[in-house]
Amino acid sequence: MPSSSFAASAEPPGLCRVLLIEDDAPLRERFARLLQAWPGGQLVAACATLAEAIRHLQGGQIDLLVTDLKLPDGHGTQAIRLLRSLNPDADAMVISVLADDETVVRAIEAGAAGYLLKDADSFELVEAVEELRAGRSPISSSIARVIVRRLNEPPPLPQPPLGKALTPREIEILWGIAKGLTYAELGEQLGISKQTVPVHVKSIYRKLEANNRSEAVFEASRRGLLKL
Amino acid sequence: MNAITLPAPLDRTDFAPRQPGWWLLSLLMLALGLLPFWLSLPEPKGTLVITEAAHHPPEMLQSGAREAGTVALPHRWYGFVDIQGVVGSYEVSFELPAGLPDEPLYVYIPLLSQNVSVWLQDHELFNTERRSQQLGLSSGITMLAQLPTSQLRAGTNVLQLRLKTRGVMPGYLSEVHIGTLGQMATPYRARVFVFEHLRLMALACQLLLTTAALVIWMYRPRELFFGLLASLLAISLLGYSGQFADFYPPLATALPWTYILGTASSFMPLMLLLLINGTHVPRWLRYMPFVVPGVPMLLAAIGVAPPQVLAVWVSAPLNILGMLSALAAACWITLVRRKSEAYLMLIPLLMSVGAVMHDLLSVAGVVRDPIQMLIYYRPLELLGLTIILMRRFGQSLRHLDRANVHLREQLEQREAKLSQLYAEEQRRSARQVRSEERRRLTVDLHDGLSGHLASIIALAEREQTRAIEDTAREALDDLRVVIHSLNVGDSELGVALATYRDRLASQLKRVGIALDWSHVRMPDISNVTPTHALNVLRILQEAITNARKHGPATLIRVRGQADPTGAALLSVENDGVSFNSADKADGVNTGAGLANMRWRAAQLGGSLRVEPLATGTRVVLTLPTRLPDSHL
Repeated sequence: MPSSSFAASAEPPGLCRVLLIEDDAPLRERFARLLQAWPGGQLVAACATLAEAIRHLQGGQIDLLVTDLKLPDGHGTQAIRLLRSLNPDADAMVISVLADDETVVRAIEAGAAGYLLKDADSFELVEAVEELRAGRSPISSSIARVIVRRLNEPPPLPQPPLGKALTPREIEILWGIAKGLTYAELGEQLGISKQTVPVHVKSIYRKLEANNRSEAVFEASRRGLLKL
Repeated sequence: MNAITLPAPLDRTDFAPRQPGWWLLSLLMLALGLLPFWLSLPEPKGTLVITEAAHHPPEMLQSGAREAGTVALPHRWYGFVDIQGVVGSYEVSFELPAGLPDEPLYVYIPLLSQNVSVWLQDHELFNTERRSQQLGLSSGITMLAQLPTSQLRAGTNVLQLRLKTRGVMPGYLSEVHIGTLGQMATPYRARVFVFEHLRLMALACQLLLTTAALVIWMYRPRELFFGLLASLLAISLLGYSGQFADFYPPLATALPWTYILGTASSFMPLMLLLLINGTHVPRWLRYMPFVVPGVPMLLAAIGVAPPQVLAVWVSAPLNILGMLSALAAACWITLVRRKSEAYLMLIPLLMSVGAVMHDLLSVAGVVRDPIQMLIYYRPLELLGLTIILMRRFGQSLRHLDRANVHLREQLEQREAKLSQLYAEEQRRSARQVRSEERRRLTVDLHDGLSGHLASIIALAEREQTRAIEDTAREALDDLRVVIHSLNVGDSELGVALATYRDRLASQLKRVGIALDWSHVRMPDISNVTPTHALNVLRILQEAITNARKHGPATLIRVRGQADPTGAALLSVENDGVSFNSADKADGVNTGAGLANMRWRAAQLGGSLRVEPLATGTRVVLTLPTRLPDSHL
């Protein structure tokens, strides 16, 4: 598998260390090019397999993981869980072709806080990454819909249902987005800035992850990724 | 489908477990019938028994040997006297010691027929007729009266007993007892019970059974069995008319008539037995209840003979004939046809026949005993019939229960099968709807995607990379439109619109067109299927493509609203060239695109209109708030 390491010994401090996982070579090269061009970060490696990515994750501090979900030797969520357990402050973003909502929500539960379509333009990618690093997460109507459905579902014990973990404001945001409102319309309705909406969304994603953690921990230990 | 099969008719095994109870009932009835043979009434002890009397027969009977003289008690004379009655007197004497006993003395006559008045020293002490006239079948009573101390004297005392009898009943006087109350109270009371209370109890029982049978008949009027049973019970009540004469004296003179009328029931036991056996009742037999009483009444009416004569010589023999025929039928059914059920009729019938024989012999003077036995045995016969009836009820109910269980089982099976079929049908039609939905979407996907891919091939041949990128993006967007439509739920058109909006926003941003989109005010739309959602998105896609193509627009405004009637309005507005001029520029393509949009709007149960604006064009899609059901 072709892979390239961009690790540099003299990196400027405060620069976001990025790891990319994408098994399709042209796409990997494209994303690598776009991320390299991003002045705010430093691409540590662009991996084609999960095994390779795990080596990099365990080898050094990673602040942002951009990963495909379907990998030849595993699943992107496994890398996300490992990242989140090694560095709780790190962010993970998934790239998918069709933004299959259920898959994306499962990635969010594993710890992802952002997502991107594979045909995203360079400006979209950079915008998405910067937003994520600034503590804001995107949400689409269809993803909000999937999460709303999950609000009253019994979670894996011993957590209370997700609906209990979320604040009333967060639930309002979910419902608004699920109904098809834009951030601006929602901000107007709730009397908040439209910039605040993605901040709430990130909080929602984090709760979704926490709500699912016991299962995630179990899953990770089962797969031998995590030593308990 | 199987036809509902009713349970098989009852066979012998169904009765087998009931046989013991059956014989018990028969034995009980036998024991009851034979009661007089094994249970004797208590006799007084230590009393002075007088077995000799000076007899003065009634004047009309004073002929030949029937002159006054000493007779042995019990003594009887023949009946067949006037209905007003005749009186014969007896003088009985007894000795009392010098000192009268401290306890009061009583005279006790265990059995007499029909009435007696007791005289001592020309004073009437007691007269049974004051209580009852003792007419008809209720013949034979007992009597106890106190002897006043003032009228008694030491030595010989003479009691005069004036015995009165009426009609066919013989006059009868048993031995006479003189004693204390303590010596005679129990035997007296026992006889009061048997001669008076028991007869009334029989009457009460019969009234009860009659009521029950009449009620059953009322609800099952077509069943001959119930009709006959009710009639038999009701007509048999006529036998008690003698007792009712006590309340209504004119009835006394009508007794021969009521007797004749009562013989209407004489052949009914035979008919009932035939029905029990399952034999057809012949027509002539069905007329017997009218013929048997009808003929003597007609003869009496036209004066051939007085009714009492006809009652004795015509009706009574017919009555006996009826009973004997029933007896024969019962014997045949039990012994030849081996139907144990008929034992319940055979036993009381045998006894009734015996009782009738006894009564006749009693009236004829062959048997001294003046008690009419039939009044005791007739209810037994009716009881037997009633037991048969009740048993049949029980059987019917058991039969009904089994039929019910069977039917319920069948019904449950049917229901299970039906619901299974229904579920299958549901699944099948759901599958069909889904596959139809899939087919439509696949066609749509193929149409869009294959066009784009063909373009990409053509462009790639000329290495026009920019155009390839644009076409590939369009193809991917097109694919997303279809895939997102697939995930749209029943009331989630808003989600589909928002997803499309998000994609559109980044597309337009790339080409520098501003997008102003808001569908917050659009009413909720229900019954949204993937095909519906795809049609809406395709209309929007077409409208936006047109706006971009013919614009050149710098702003596209999409609005979801409600129209005054409550329907949903979805409008796409651009600030480019007005529709009319655009039409002229590219008539054919726009026309085809518009037709396609209109067709899709019609599929949604809505409509589409295109309005030229001062600058730009507005496309308005009107949708019902409930989209039409998808049809196969």
